[in-house]
Amino acid sequence: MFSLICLIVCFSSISRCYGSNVDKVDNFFSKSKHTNNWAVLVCSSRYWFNYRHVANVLSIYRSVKRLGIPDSRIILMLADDMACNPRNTRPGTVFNNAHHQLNVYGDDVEVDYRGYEVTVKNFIRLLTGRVEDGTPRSKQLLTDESSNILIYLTGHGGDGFLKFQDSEEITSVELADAFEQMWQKQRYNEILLITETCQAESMAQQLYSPNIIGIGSSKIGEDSLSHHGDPTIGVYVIDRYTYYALEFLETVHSNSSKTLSSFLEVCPKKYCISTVTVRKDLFHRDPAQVPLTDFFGSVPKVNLMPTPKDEDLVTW
Amino acid sequence: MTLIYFLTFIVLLPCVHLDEAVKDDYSESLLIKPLPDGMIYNHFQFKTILHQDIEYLHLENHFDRFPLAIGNFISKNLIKELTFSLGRGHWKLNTWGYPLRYQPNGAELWVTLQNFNPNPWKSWKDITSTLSGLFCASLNFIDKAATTKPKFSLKPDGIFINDSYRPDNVFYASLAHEAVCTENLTPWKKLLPCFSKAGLASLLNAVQIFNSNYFALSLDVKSICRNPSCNETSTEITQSVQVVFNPPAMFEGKHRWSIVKFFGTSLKEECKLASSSKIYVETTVNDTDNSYNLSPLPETSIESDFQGEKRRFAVYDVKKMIEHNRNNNVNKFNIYSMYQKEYIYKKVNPPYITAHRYITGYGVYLGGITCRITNSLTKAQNVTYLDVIPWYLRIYIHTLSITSNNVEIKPSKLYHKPGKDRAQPHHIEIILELPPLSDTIITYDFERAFLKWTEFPPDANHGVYVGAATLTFQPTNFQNLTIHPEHTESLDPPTIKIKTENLLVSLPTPDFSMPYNVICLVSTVITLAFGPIHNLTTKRARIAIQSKEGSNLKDRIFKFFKRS
Repeated sequence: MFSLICLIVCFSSISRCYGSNVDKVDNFFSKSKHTNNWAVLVCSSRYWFNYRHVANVLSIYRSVKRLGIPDSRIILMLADDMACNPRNTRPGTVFNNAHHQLNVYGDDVEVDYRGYEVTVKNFIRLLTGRVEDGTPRSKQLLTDESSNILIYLTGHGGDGFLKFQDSEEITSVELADAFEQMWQKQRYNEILLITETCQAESMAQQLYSPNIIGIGSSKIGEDSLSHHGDPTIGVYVIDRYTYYALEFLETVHSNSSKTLSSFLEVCPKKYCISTVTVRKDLFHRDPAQVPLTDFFGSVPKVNLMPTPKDEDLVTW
Repeated sequence: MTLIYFLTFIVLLPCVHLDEAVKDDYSESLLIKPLPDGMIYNHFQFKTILHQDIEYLHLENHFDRFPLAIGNFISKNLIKELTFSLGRGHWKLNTWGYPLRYQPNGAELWVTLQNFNPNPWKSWKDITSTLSGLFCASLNFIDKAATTKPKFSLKPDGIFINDSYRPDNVFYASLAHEAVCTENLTPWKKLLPCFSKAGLASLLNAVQIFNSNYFALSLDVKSICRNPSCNETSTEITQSVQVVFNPPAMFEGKHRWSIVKFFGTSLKEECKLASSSKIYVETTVNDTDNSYNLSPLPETSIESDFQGEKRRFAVYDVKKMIEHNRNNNVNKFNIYSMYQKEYIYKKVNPPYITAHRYITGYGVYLGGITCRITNSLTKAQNVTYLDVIPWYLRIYIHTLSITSNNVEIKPSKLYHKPGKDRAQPHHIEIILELPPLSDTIITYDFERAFLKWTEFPPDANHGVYVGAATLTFQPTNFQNLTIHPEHTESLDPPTIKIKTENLLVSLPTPDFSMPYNVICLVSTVITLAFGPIHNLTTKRARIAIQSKEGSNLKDRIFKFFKRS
């Protein structure tokens, strides 16, 4: 009898202990373990009429740069030169709005892969780190096991593929295998994959590696639509999902407490016309607890190492 | 290798430390020249000189004004001379005359390596990939199949002490399809000591300068003499930008110009690190009957005599002017020019040597390349012609013909290195004497090779580009030459390099959807064939046994109802 009472008291004390620390523990585990942020932004479409895809990717580029990811950690791939295209009546500019409020090309842009360099091969090599000898640092994804990567893909897609340069495709299976290879090589901590294409849901469907959250701008069977055109340029200038995502991102600043879950709701069906899909099952944290700056900004956590004792120091 | 460096380092360390005069110097200038057809040519030049021999650059562990990225890059790849340029648009040779530096559309790279480079090809590959990362350009497409080693055309620009120049160390490649835009200008500006924050570089506003008729960007590294006796050399890096604007397009049809209108900003701050910062406006052709007035009035005017060719320049010292403005509480620095009367277009005399190249023939099997070189001087002129043709246009050298006013002429030298598939381009160099007042035509035929399916660019039907041919000569007449007032001291006659047009050649392209068609067709055929064959092979044919039942009436009636 005494032992039973003892046991109950013991349990209750443990549970009381647990109760008081539960927030602490939850906080500890919900915090990201990342120390650095990277972004891979890809526009895979060639030709002038795909101007909006370049505008999409540059809008995201502008946002992540504003939120603190430096150019050296942004890999920007543009399959065609829109800013200085002979058809562009205002050379050196790319606008994502018919009112020309914001030149997303800016005066300080670094494009890492451009033109014919934007191929499926180069993209997979970049992700998996199997680049050719002598590849400059600006063309490498030098991530480690504590890197959070934002991957944004835009272009023309279909069920299970994304077209590159109007001549080849990356399939969702290839993408999933590349991510798995990255995981095995400890090249990431978490990945946020955003796909702005037709039937974008399919690109995240085959993924099987952990810690990935996949957002697609449309369901399988749905088209992803453009937002509006610019009569002075003569083409559509931005896609719907990116337009609303950008509108939301403009309200985010580097210390902002906005979470990933609010980002997942930026484009309801009445605005997007297509259905934005999210694949969360591989992601172990609750999006409502994840600050958006874990992916879009660079707010690194600094891990201090213990100061080595004098006798441990290697001296020459 | 590292050990050798280390030892040299140890040996030379005291000298480096003792020599307090080792310093680098940075100067900038802008030359504005009205072109004969009314357009305005702007040549920015940013020059950094490091008083260290380029071969000992690895000893330099502290860079002041000299860009660190370039310094490390030179010492790592053992470069002696480097010329890199990116161009956009076409320099109209016939109306604009010779520029200070001729750059065709696309990228061009020309490197001379140091003599003791152990592995030149590896260095060349590293140079292209490093530059591609540094300037956001696709220079990594330069491989062995795009590289040549010119024999006569590219003479070194810099100083080679003890005649150490070896043509074998020269590498040359061009990429005619390379686009040039803000992303190339941004990292280029970051190499300057004041970046684009202050000084003349703050005028390089991407949106303005890409809205021009011609734009070229370049980076040149060479050795220059450190003292008059020239027993030591310094390393000089020259960054230049050339922009041609069309004033009537920017000033509602008026022939006037101003710095603020051209570059979209006024010069707010001087670069304090620059030893000199000057703007020159060429006033040589300022006619007396309709001259243009510069405002503010130039501080000084210099007259330079370049081997008998006289030029006048108005000089503005940017540092002094900004200082003066600051004292008077004016924060706008602008120079503008206005004609007193209506501008009159005049007949433009083309330069005495011009070259134009074009494609001949039709269809996608055979074709030809023709280059027309005009000499309008009354004396003969020696020129060197360099043409690099990609391997997939197979040149027939026996069809090479050089005629001048319909008379065949013999070149003084002819060098031809045939191309190899996927490994080496066709390389033709011709030294010839152009007869006086002549029209010389160099022509040869080619056959288009079939590429592998995967070798085509994504926009295969657009065609492929052939880089510009280079024509090099020593001028005897300086009339159409652009002369920089800071370069008049050199006594050597300049070498002019002009470029022809890039060529766009369509290749025989396959039907890229063919594999899909074949897959669909074959699958259909297999399906159609598979069904019957499968039935035939897996099902056994049996003779149906006629049942004896149903002979009586009751069965017959039953069967009838069952069937219905």
